[in-house]
Amino acid sequence: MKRYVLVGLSHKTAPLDLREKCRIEDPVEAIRELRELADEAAFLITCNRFEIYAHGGKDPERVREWLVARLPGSSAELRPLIYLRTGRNACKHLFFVTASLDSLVVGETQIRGQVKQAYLAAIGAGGTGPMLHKLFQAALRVSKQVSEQTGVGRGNVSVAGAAADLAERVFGGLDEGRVLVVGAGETAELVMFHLQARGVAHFRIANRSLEHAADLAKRFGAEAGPLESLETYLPDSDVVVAAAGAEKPLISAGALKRALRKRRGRPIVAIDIAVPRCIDDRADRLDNVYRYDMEALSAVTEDALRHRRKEFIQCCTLVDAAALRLAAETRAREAGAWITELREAYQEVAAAELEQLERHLPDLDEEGRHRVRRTVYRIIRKLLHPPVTALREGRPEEAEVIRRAFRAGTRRGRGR
Amino acid sequence: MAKLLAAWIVTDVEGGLLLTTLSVFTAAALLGLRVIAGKRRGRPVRPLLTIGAFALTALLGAIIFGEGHPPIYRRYETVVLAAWVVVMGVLVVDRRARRPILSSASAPSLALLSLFAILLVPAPGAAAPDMRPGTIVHIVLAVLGFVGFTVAAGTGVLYLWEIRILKRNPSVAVARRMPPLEQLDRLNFFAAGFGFPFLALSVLAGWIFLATTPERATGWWLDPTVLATVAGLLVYGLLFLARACLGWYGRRIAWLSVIGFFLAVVGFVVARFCPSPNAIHIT
Repeated sequence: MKRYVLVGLSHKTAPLDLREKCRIEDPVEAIRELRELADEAAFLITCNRFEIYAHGGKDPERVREWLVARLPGSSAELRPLIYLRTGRNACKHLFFVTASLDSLVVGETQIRGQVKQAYLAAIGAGGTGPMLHKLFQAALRVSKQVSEQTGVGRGNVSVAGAAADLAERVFGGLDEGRVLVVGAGETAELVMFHLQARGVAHFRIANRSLEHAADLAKRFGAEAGPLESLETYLPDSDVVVAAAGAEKPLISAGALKRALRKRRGRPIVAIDIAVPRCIDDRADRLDNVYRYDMEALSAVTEDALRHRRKEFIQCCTLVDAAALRLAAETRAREAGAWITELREAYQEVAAAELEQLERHLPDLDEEGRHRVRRTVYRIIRKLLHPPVTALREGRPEEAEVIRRAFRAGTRRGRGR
Repeated sequence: MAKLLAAWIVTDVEGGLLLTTLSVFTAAALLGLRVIAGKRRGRPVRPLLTIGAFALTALLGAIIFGEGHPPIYRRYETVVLAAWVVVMGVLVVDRRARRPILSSASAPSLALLSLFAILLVPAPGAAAPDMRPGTIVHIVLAVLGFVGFTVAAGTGVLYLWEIRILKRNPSVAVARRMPPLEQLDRLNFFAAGFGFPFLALSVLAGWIFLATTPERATGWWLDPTVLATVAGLLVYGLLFLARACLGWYGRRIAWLSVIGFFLAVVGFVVARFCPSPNAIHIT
């Protein structure tokens, strides 16, 4: 566990202009260079972070130096921006990152895919070995656990996402939903993007400039029309997204009432993200019209953020548990190697002594030899039982003491 | 009464099962209320309801095979049957809708039904009354009708609650756990459609039964039970008509299902607890 190394910078330590310059032109070559400094290495590069995960190697500082050498600026300026963590802290950091607890927007789901991509890229470049495999697989597992067992990813923290959420709360699925978008600006496009991700296939765009509307419509396979066609479009729309600048409301309560009558009472979700508002607020009094303006949507996003923060402690518990599990697995793996080596060393000593004994006792028959051998090996097994158990189950510090006392892992305990 | 109840509960298998059901549903109700309040997630409620459903099934088995008659001869048996149908319906709907709030919201009413059943348990050794086939048909149909109306009213109340949340404060935690409005509306309409023919047939069977009963009271058709149940049926009839012809949707339909249920419950309560021609054959 102690041999895991993390070196990197993120949105929490480095400014954007520096993060922008963190690029790896040839990942295979970079991994090859890093493997001269460590046994295994992998990169995690996203728009918010640039991190190197490694295992083994003599000096973690050399990995930091490698990164500093590839960034613009003096070493003195860069060193405080680059963090270096080792052992459990490095592992926990990756768990936090993958579970989206270290993200700019806590709980966003993109990061898990990015970590997966980074892991696959490292495998492709030949950077991973058994220890990084363990680390990345544990990280992906803990991320899944966090998203399933806590509410850290629940709720939407973007206004566009919250609008889509609210529409889903009324209609359930939006696969067959029809959406009317008033306006053709960036905000309208963003909401359309979110709604499309939820399965909406039928969009209509009404805008002052038909040219802009047609432009946006082309990207979403939608129908475009002038603002005058609003009344015609309304009865056929389950969700109305108003994102056009206007002095007076473009959609009146009367128009919505007429639309409802034609829809035989089926609900309309009216999302008003324009400032000033362009849906008449008297629409709130209508049955089956659910109108949300920026104020309401902001309350939803803030609530989601608050909720995510509350879940943070539970997530930390899961991450801690995963780090402990990984430490136990790593220790068992290292202990396994030491135990094998310890047994081999003692058996070699015994074999040499037995050979000498047999030379001094030439009259010993086959049965006698066999008995002596069995006795000697049984004594070794019994003598090694306490240190082997302690290596398997003891704390890392204890294991280290035992390892040194019995000279396991040093290949010096053979008595040669 | 308390002594009798205690003796009955300790000695009788049915009593033990009923007590188990009450305990499990009470635990589910307490958890359910915490889920509704947003203080915990809804996962443990469903397993508890499943355990309660098993206990109720065993109880119905004990009544049918142990006593040799359908579980409608005594008041408590009818309530147990109704609770069983409701819990089964809730479990099926909850599985399909995958919204723990449904099981959480129905758990308190199931606990109340179990308590109600315990309170209606007759003294030990009381013989089951004789019933004519017409009465059995009447009661079975009424129970099925009530189950449909209970679910319709339950979803109606949830619908009304959810539109209040969505209109006033959509950011509250409970809003995220509620089923979508359209789903609730569909469920409400389906449950009302399920209950209506059963209750209508039950009223018809009851009418035929009373019309052919020599000891019927004069003017039995003006009995409050009959009037309240028929009024409930008319409200549900109006619900279907409004939906089909006037295109009513959502809030109004939810209110109609709640009012219709209330009237049907009044009919039930009058039939069971007030002097009424409908009570003449029921212990």
